[in-house]
Amino acid sequence: MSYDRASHGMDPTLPPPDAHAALAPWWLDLLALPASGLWPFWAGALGLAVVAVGFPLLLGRPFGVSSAVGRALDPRKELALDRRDDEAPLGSGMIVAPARLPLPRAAARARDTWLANVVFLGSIALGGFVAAISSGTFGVSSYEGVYETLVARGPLGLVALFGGGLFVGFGTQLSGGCTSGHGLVGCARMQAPSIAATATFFGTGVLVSLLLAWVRA
Amino acid sequence: MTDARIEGTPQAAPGVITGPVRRLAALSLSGITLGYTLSRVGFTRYDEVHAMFTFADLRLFGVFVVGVILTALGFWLTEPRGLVGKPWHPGTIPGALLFGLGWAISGACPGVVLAQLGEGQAPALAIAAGVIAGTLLHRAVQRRWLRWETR
Repeated sequence: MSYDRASHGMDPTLPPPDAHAALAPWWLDLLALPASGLWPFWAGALGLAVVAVGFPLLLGRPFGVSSAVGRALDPRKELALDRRDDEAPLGSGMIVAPARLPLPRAAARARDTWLANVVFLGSIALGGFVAAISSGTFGVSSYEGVYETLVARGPLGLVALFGGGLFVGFGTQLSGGCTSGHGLVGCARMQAPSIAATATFFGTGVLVSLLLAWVRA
Repeated sequence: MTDARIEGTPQAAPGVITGPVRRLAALSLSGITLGYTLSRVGFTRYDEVHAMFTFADLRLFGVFVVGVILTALGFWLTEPRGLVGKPWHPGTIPGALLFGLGWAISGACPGVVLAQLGEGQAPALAIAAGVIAGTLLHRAVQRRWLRWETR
């Protein structure tokens, strides 16, 4: 089973699923649940903003997923930094020599342990799990239908997904942020590097997607 | 050297959680909220992300743009401490180009892959393997050739 936009009444070329929709004011469509059962844009925006604002308020450092990915996948360095922090816990104000470790500027900020970063990433998956279970879509793949038509099906499709993931992993680490760090937080603070990075990855996403749709249609 | 030591002092901003267990709880709460939101709004569905990138459905663009506006409003109202801006470096734009390419192909950004795994979307395992490989590859490349800090 896949998510088929047309069968959910989402295809803009199809008439609205019920006649009453034509009588409702246009802005009601923006506030209402889409026919697919997904959240309207404002609910998603609120959810993202709650995390992006709540995170630094509670934890004293900026919210960002790709930096947590980078740290979670660098256990040797992070566990060594954990041992350094054990000697002078956050908030103690103690001054410690950086031992044998070089102390880059980034590590001087409020930081969490390697394990805490892993737990943070795991809890994103847990959130997806709760959402899928509560909406009855657990185990349903969205990589059928549209994806198979546009990119590839079967093993080749999985290779393309791996390749796409490779670009995402390498690109976000090279750029120093992703949709959360550069996109939400950096843009909200009007930081020039983050706005440029966000415009670049959204722009590239649009161009490549239009190209895919044009070539494969 | 002495200056570097003073700069490196771990100092918590007032109001920030310092206890390790409570930090874990706050991180978990943030992660669950993020994963739940990404899933319920449809950022974890290839069809929806593709519809956003091709302008067939502007809803997910709306999620992002309004999300940025609400975040800016939240920052203005609450003035959180510890928001360190990301510096310019030679990888900012090339990295974003590669990320955009990967996002268009796979339909996933780093947070989305994790939410997809939680949703039980089996193909997301291939994306996650790619993200892990890409992250490790970048570290190897950075340690060998690159001379700047990215985060």
